[in-house]
Amino acid sequence: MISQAHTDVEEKRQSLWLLAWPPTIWAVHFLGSYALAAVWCRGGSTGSYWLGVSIAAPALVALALIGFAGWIGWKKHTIPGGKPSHDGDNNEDRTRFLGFATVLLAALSAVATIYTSVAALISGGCG
Amino acid sequence: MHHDHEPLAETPPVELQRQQSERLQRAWEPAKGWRYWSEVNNSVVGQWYTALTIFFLAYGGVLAALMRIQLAIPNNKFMTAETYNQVFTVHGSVMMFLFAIPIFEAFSIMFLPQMLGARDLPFPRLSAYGFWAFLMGGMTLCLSLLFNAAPSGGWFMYPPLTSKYEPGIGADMWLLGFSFIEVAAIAASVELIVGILKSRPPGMRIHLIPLYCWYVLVAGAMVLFAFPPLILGSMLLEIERALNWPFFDPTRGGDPLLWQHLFWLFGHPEVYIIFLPSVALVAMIVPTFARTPIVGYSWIVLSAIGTGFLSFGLWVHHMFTTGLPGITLALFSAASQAIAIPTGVQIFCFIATMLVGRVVNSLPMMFVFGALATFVIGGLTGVMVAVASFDFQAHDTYFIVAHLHSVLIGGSIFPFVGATYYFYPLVNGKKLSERLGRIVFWLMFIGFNVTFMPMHLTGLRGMPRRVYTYSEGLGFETLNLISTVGAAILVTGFAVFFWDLFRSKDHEPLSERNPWGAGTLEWLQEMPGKPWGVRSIPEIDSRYPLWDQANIVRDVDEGRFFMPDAEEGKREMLITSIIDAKPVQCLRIPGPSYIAFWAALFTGGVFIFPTFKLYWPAAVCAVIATGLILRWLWEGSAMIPEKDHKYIGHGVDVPLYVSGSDSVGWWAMLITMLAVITAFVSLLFGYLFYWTLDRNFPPPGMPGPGWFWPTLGTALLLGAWALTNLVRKWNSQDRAGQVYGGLGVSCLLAIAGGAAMIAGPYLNSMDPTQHVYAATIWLLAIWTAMHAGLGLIMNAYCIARRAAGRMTAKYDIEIHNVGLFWHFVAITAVATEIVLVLFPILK
Repeated sequence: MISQAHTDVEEKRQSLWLLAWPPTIWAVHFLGSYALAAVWCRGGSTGSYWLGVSIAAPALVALALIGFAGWIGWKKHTIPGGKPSHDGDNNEDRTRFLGFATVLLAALSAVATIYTSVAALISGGCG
Repeated sequence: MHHDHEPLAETPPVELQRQQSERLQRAWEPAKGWRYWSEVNNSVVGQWYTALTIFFLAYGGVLAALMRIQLAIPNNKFMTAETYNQVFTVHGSVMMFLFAIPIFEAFSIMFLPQMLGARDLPFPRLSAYGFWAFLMGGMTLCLSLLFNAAPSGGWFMYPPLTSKYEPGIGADMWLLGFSFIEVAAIAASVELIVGILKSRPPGMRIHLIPLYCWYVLVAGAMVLFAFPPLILGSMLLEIERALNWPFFDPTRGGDPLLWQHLFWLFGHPEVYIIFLPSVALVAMIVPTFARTPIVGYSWIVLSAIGTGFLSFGLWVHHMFTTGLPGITLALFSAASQAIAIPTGVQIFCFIATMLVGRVVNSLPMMFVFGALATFVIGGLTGVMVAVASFDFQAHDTYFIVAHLHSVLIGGSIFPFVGATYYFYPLVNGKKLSERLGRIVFWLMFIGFNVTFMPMHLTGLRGMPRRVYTYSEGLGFETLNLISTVGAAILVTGFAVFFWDLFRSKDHEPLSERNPWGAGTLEWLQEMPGKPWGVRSIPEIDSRYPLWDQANIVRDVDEGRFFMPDAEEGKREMLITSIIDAKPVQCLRIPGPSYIAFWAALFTGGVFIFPTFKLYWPAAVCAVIATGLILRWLWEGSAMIPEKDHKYIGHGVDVPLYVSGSDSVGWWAMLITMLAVITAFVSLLFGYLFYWTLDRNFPPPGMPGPGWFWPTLGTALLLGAWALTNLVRKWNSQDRAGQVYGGLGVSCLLAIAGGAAMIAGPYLNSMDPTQHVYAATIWLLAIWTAMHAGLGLIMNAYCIARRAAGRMTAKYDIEIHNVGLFWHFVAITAVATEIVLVLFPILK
């Protein structure tokens, strides 16, 4: 019998898509920023500080979503079971790996999103 | 609880082992004589692919040497300007499209089955098709140089140079030839992605797969999203050249800058498509010689995936000097800096692995060190040019030439050569010469540095790239001469390498098994390898099974694991689940056949004939190619097996036929359509790009497609989509009448929907040569109509399969895959409706 505690680590509850989530949020924010700048600056507009702010503000939402993915990842990473070095052929170690990789990707995506907004705040101009 | 399947405790009887081996041998025996060229087994096709790629490397190298001869002294008359233009264009194009990208696909096709302990990959004929397409497209481009008909606009082919000022067929050759090769590359990606996700040995869970597979998975996915923008861009440029539709012509609303966007949307990820699989080779070699598992497996996976994503946010850094808004430059500059993080992480992981283990002095490791040092230098100059203000100075100078060659030679060539020395025993059971290898390394490493180090300075002194000569007294002479001397050393290194690779080794002893003492599965292979790949498919418990699983070699060899036999004499492989690699299917795969060759030949006609403005032969080729591909599918896919299940040993029974998202074909359709929809999104990007350029886009007073026809077309296609997916349900309930009726009606809806899409621009007399708006609308309408046409063919195919008894209520792969295809048609139709009808209204 599979006990209730084990269902969290069953294969059908795992997915590779979780890994793609944080960087996808970075990508959406980045692409949105690029599009916003292109539209804002079209026809020779000079741009303004508000353009930078309009990029940096949504970054907070993006960071929250990335953080949420990272939190899910962290929970997976800290499930009980398995044994160190966590590279064994069992459900727990697999889940821990998926969780930890998600945490790392969330951290990288957060840094990249912050880079985007800092760059936008410093240089709000279209020129 | 999880139960592992242990190998059989007892040795199977010797007589049984012999019979099993014989049956496996018969099933997997490569075709003999001329029929050898009809082989489709990935290990064989991978060898052809690799050999051809190495030929292209040599070809591109010879062109490089010619350029260095020309530039050795000022005012040299060795080559004319026109010849030089062709030579540098073909050099860049060959090295990028015919060596650096395909070498990863070739290597992977060759070695993935071994790394995965698999007999083959799921679509052997697709690999063969990709190989033949690659051969034809690549040879066409290489030969064009000999007829003075090669492209001469640089490997990135910027218009208006290539749209207005290159009247010959060279540019057409590039645009069409490479589109053909890119299609082949996408085919290979489908094979590699599905192979990695679905054909791992039992127990090789997602956190145990070799790092090489992670990298190739990411690189394969990147191909799907990076190549379509270039294919679309090439299409636009070719249509402009051939039919005068003004996509890049500013006098009629177009803009040459769109090409740069589309090209670099491909071009920058491409750098990482090249780089990641090369690091992947390093990630296989380092643990072997450090004698310890890799340090930071998860961190390396982070690097691979993170790099894959971030690399799509860098494309504008090739366009810093095109006058884009300052804030746009800042955004891309930031992303270009961010990608240094994951790139650095993996290098630190390698260094940490070497520190934790005890590095054994060996030839492949020398190349690894050379690669890391060179790549880091190239990476650091990359960080320099990622700073926009520095780039304004260095742009289009030899500094960039030095930078990109450090990245590519450090990030691709050195790992490739090192990996060749490492993996060569898997190809024919012999080792390459250690002594020659050390000579090769020092010649290449010294030659490379003498050639390219001075170029940084040449560039900073102001020498522009792509000039065929320079005057005396500008301070370029000495530096150029040094570079040429270095190139001579580098070429000598390659000559020795090729000699070592292709010299006869008949009189040399076979290498011992697992000669480097590696821990990964590919080193199970016998010397020389057997056509069946692995004798039995092992259960994996570790990232380094050869180190951690006692007796695994014996157990595999004696057939103590899964599928040790080919009872029915068929080529079979094991399909497993994506996360945990649990057995889900025994997949029968087709054996030797020329059909992939013929299909590639006629597909080639579709791309090559238009170069010479021969459109009718191209159309005929298209019809024949479609017919051949249908026949290929008809006889080689979704075959109904003689029994439902097959026993694969250890108490496991797996189905021989699965459909829907369990089947490999469904995944192939999904992956292919992701690439297709990316090309479509690139076209939408073009439309929005024109809109951001011009406040009057769509131009007032110019006829549009109207609202009626596009809306009708969309509605009809949505009807076909819904009906096809209903048919999938009816089919599973075995309601034959509804199945035939539904498919028949959906065929009619597809025809009517496609026609209505075309009717919009046609009946409103939109002239695509007049303005880019009309051209874009026409292309969107044609694109959607072509999807309807493909859907029509697929639905008709399902009718035929059902009528022939090859598709039934139970055996229903086709209708699942076709239903999936129609989802993408529906998305395309709705997006077209939005752009054609809603966007102008909202505006």
